[in-house]
Amino acid sequence: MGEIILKTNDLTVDFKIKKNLFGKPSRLSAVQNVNLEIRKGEIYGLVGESGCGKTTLANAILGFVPITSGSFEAFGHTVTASTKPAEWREVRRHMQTVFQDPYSSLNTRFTVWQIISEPLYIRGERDERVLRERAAAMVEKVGLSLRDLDRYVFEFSGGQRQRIAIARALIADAELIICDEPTSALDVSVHSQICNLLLDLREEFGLTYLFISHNLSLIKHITDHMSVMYLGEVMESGATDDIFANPQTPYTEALMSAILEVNPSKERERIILTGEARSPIDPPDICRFANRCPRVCDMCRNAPLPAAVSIGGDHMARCHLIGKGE
Amino acid sequence: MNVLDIKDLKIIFRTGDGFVRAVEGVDISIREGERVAIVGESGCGKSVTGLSCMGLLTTPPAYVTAREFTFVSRNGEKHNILEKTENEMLRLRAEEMAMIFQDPSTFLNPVMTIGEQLDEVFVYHMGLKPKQARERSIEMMKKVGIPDPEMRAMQYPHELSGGIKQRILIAMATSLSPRLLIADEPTTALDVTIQAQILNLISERCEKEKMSLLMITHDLGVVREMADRVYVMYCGKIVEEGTVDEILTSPRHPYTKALIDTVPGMDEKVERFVQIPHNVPHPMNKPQGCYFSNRCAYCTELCRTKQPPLYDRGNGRKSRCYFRPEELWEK
Repeated sequence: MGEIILKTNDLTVDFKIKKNLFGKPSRLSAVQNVNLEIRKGEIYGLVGESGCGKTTLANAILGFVPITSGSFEAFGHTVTASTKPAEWREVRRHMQTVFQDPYSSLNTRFTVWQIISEPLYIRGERDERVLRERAAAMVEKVGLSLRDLDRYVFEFSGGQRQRIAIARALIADAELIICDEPTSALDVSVHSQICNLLLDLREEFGLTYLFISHNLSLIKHITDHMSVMYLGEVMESGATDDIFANPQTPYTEALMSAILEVNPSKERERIILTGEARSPIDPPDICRFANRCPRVCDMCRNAPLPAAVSIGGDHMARCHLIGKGE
Repeated sequence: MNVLDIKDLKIIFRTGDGFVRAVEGVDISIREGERVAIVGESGCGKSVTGLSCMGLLTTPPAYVTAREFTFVSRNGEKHNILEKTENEMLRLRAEEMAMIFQDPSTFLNPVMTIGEQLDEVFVYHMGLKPKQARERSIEMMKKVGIPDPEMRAMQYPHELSGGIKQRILIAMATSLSPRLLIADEPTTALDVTIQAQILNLISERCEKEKMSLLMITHDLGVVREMADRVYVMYCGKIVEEGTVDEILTSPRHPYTKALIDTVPGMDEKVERFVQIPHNVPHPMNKPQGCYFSNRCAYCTELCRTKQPPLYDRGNGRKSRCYFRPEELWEK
């Protein structure tokens, strides 16, 4: 594995929510003290349920939402809450994103070549011939044809639209591509097409992916390292194979047991969690999973969540139960 | 005894560009207490099939025809769904058949409290007084595992999470213990851990109330979990039919096999995903022969020119493919 290209240090994102005009604002804790390291050339998975902060974390790295505290280092820059926009832009040059829903993330009034070449236009390339040529080269890489260049988005299916979105992400030579649930809006039979395309492009361009998904079985097959998030906090992180072979926290176990296996000859023990995630507004300083945890004990309800413990290698987990036996 | 018998169901939509054949001759039967699934991708006609059972398609734009469309109610009376008036359907729905949908928030009235919406079922169908109806509603909410039901009954849909809303819909749908429950992608909009809860709840309710279940889904994992028998649909036609165990272990149609293969198992790590080439054809522009022919790895000249019939392969298994699996998978 290559050098670290993105490293977050206690990255925290809070949103202030005002219930009324005069009241004291509440704190919605979206991402809490997240530390992760992404190495060049790998696919890093970020998995968790809706509201766990995985998209907010990605948005904070891309600069779509302001960082509250903490920092991240990427491409020779350190970004904190007080980083100036000019430096921000420098960092962002190296990153691009593919969004979940290709029906809303593409401009319906642009033709395909305009959509794909827009990042170059923003960087100052104004020559239409150049823009078109670059778009044409990209279009073939993602498995569309040259005839598609002058068509509009509505003429394409979901899978094809996602190909357009990928072409747009790749055209400006980004090194880190943040894929936010790139396949979950697509049909089952198109899933694998897009995943294979992402894998091929990684080989060809030497890309690094931050791959956000709630689909654990996809994460298992596609990623090298991963983090499991729950309500803004990373519960467990490490090499994907290690986590799947030996999950340490009750939440990871529950997530894995919720994967629906297709093969009828396999019986799996299902852990069905009760209740739902607690509200992220003004969360108490205890384990955020305590109210649903099947193995909850007194400590979980009273003491703050312990720091991450190394299980072996870079496999880290945060849980009171680790090392205490069953 | 069959609860539902559909023979040669055809659903056509009139659109601005012409007629779209959404469902082209589908046969479905559901026995009493049986759990049946329809699996397919978006646009294959699985949802409109479900809606037509409930008489929820309006003409125009939808035109529904069938050689037989019989629903047998609890007292043994046979109903032809296609000939029912709206008023008669209103009685059948909820009392004899009920449906839950993918996105619970669009099916709850945003300006009524949850309690009021649940009460309606009892007031309208059983003629209960508001107070008794509320008691029944609270009882139903307890049955579907909603914590603190008295408080929830006073809340509006926007105050509830997706999982709780889906539970409310299940409570509504099953409150009069209908004979048939149709569930159209009930967990697609939910988180994985909540999905597990909801699937569990649906099976539990079906078992307790002895309901038949028609599960409409795109997820083979859900099919495996929830159904005894499955119909695989593609482009408005059934391409394969059989018991879930058999279909998932030994598929007979190339489409079913491809669908299963695209979901890699959890045991070994794959380097690349098995993919089905191309896209689902546009409903106005289906291939001339077998609808799967343009994506099929085993396609022959015959497949391209002539639509195969649904062959009976014995043991209740049917497959819309010219070839037997042993001929196919060897190629």
